[in-house]
Amino acid sequence: MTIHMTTLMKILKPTLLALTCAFLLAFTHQITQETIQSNQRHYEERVLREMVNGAELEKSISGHNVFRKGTQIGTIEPFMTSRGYNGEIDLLIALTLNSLTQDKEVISVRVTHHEETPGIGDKIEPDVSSWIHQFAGKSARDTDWTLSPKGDIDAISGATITSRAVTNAIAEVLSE
Amino acid sequence: MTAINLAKDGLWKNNPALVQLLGLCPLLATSNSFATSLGLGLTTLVVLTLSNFTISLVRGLLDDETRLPVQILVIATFVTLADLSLQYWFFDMHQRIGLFVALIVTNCTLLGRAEAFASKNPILSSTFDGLMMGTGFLLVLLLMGTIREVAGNGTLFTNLHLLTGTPDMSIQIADSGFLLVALPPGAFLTLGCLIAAKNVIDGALR
Repeated sequence: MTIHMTTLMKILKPTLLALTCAFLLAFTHQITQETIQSNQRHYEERVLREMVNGAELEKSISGHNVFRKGTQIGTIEPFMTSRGYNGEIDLLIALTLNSLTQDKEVISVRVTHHEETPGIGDKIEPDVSSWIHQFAGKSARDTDWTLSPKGDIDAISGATITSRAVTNAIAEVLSE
Repeated sequence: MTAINLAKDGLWKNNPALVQLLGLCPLLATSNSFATSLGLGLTTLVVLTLSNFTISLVRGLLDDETRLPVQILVIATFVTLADLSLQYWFFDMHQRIGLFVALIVTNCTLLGRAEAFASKNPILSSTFDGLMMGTGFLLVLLLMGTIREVAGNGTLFTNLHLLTGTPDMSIQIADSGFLLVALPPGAFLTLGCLIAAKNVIDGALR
């Protein structure tokens, strides 16, 4: 019986500690969740406004419509690809329709969430590197949407799979 | 151990980054600017102090078989709490260092101090040890962040306003920098130079 008691205590003590930890985490999550979500919303709104240089935005079914002086000049669409190196990459792609050539053109692209390798694949973030800005002004027809040297898109060295996933995602949205 | 000895150990003699060479993953990954270094360094300092305190507090309850899992559990809990707090107060900063905050769990400085010190010593000295080791880690991280940002990008204090809440404080020192220092290999080279410098100073003092 004494052996059973010590075994029981050995199990019980870490279990109680684990429950305390779980309670602490659940409690903190509960009280911080609302502010974190509103922080996230504010952050997203700011990113959206930056993407279209302060033009007016209006929610559409899937993303946002972009207006300048009352007329619609383009859209911002969210897109997700899982062809990156790790996990999913969430993108926001702002597009405009060129009225002369009837060709779709990229205004700007932002990565909003990814789990690519820190220090290598994270260069798709505008805060880490200017890589993502090369897509601005590129159009569906006039651009070879493959990586250089063959195509027109410069890859991030060491992160070819990540670069290709983002490039393909943008090309796909443009061709829709 | 006296407080002075603990402080000496953490800050210089047994510095987690320069001597124990622990926690290299976050050290090398976030040391490319002053602001990210400060963000991650402070988070590590807080988590290390709290986890040392807690592990010392419950050290009497633990057996040999369950000690390590419980230590990791305590560390992981504090890292998650720190992660939530960062998202709560410094959301923009979290967008930059968020990937690495979760990696603090794997920072061997934390488990190392928990196992080597906090599980054997009273609460007060364990907490102080965590504080000193964390400060030692933070100082090396800040030094590396400063060197790499200035030499690699020619700037200093970029994005620091995200942590302090003040207007933009970035200083442009040069138009461009020696890019290698800012890239991942530069982190190893910088750390190597710092370790060498420490050894030279130690040799001169002896």
